[in-house]
Amino acid sequence: MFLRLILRQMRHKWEVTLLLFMAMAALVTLYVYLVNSAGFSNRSMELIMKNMGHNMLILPESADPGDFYLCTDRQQPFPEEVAGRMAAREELASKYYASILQVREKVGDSQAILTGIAAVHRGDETTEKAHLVTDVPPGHARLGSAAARALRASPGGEVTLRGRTFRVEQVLPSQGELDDCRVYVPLAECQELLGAPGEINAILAFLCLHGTTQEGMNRYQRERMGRLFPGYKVVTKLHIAQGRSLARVTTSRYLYCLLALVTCITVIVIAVTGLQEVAERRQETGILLAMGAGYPYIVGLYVFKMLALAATAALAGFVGGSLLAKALLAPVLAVNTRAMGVVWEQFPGVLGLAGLVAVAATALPMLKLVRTDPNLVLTEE
Amino acid sequence: MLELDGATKVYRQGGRTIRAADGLTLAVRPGDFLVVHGPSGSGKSTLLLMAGGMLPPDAGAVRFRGEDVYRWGPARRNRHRREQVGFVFQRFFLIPHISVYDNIRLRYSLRGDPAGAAAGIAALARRLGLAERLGHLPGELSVGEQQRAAVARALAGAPGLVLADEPTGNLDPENAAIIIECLREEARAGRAVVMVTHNPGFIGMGTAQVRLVAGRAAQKTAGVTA
Repeated sequence: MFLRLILRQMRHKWEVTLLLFMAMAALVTLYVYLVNSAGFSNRSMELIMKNMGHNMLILPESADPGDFYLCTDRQQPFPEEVAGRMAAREELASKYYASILQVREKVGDSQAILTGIAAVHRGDETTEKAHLVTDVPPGHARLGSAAARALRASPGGEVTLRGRTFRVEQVLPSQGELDDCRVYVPLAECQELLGAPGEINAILAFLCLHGTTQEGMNRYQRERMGRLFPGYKVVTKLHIAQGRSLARVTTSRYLYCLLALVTCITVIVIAVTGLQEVAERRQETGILLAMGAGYPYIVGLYVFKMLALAATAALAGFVGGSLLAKALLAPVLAVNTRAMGVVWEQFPGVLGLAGLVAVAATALPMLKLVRTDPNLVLTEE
Repeated sequence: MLELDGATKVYRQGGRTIRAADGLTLAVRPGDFLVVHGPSGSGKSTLLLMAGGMLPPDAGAVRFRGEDVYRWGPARRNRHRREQVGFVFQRFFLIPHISVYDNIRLRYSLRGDPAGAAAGIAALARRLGLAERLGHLPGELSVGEQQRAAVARALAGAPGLVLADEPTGNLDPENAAIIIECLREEARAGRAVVMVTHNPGFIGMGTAQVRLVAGRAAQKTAGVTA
């Protein structure tokens, strides 16, 4: 009978029920649209920032970073296997390690930096979260734009360094950085050319910035590195790390503000409708009390109805919001990691939130209901 | 069955004090049909609400089968109303979005007796001429039918005490007579019935009468105990 009362009331006042449902569904749609579009935008922006390259340099504790930047003869070599050990430690916040061995080379009137490079993979890398470095095929070289000019090389051609000929796999676009002068070759081949088997000069890594500030994550990383790899130090490439951190903070705060606004509007809509409904149904409240139904039963009629509406509105709004985000945002994103669509993993959260908002918004009308004097209602002319 | 012992209810409105019940003392036994009458504002409805466990008096006591109703907690009082009290109001207060059948069934449901509903509703509908109207919504019924449905709901589950507040106030003479006769039958069946009315023609229809003036029992017939 309890459910029957609710369903019949919803049917009897179907216009109000429909309006309430549409209001809630629209707000859930907006919520899901914002969450999805912000989530995918954020991910896209993170990828853009990730594509800017590694944001950490790992060197031996006693090494002078200047020697690495200037590629001097004073660089301190260290075992290549260190990078593998780091990649195996999941306690570190860093990922996407790349081992580097570099030496300055005279090329005609100019100079280039012969750079042996090898990606060091971690077990939790996925297709979506792929390594930053794609390995240079054996016998091939990948040239920075300035190095390509100095060597007069183009893709498909050949370059000879220290007596070994490499086929040019790719010429990288100019980045306005030292990397334009690099000639990337497979690390093993570089080690062989330089007579330094198993040695590297530096490790490039990417510090993830999940869940805290850049400063917080740096502290965390340094503490872990100091404990696990005491002979090594971390140098942060600040502009890349900061850019990524600020992008994340900006999108997150923007999203929280919008979501808070949407939640407030939802609560107000439900509360106002609820207050109106309590006023309209005061005689029903009065007679139910006269028949011995307690307040828990009567309040339950309202709350259960709101929860049922919230659940259906959550489902409709979830699907609507997801599809809207897909339709409006997918063509705009500069970088896509995965196809946009309905992310069903979010639904339990949306459902729970819709329920909480419905219950919270019903609190004020229910306060009015229990403060209504049924005797006044039953004796009013 | 029902006793009001010096029951007093005072309302304060804008600095004005209204004594809606002023030391009311009376008793109603099973089989009594007490008619309460008096001018508007004399406290008739207040008497009914106090008697039904809806409105606690400021002073005095309301007892049902010897127990003070307002010494019970809200849950016990709710149970009392579910099981022992049937209310009828001038404005019916049928729930508009459920059928007449469901309006009556709701009372069985609240009493925790859904099994008894089918037979009980059928009997009440036959008695009150509602058999053809059970599937209709209250808004589809005539005024007389709505009041008969409200009476049927009040009588569902055979409560010991029936309280009717101007049940004939909006009705034509034919429907009013049906309602009055139904209430008299209830009294004859051993239930205590208290009816408030303005209609002088119905004052003599009960087994006893009380005339209220300014919250006081200005006149009681011999049938009114205490």
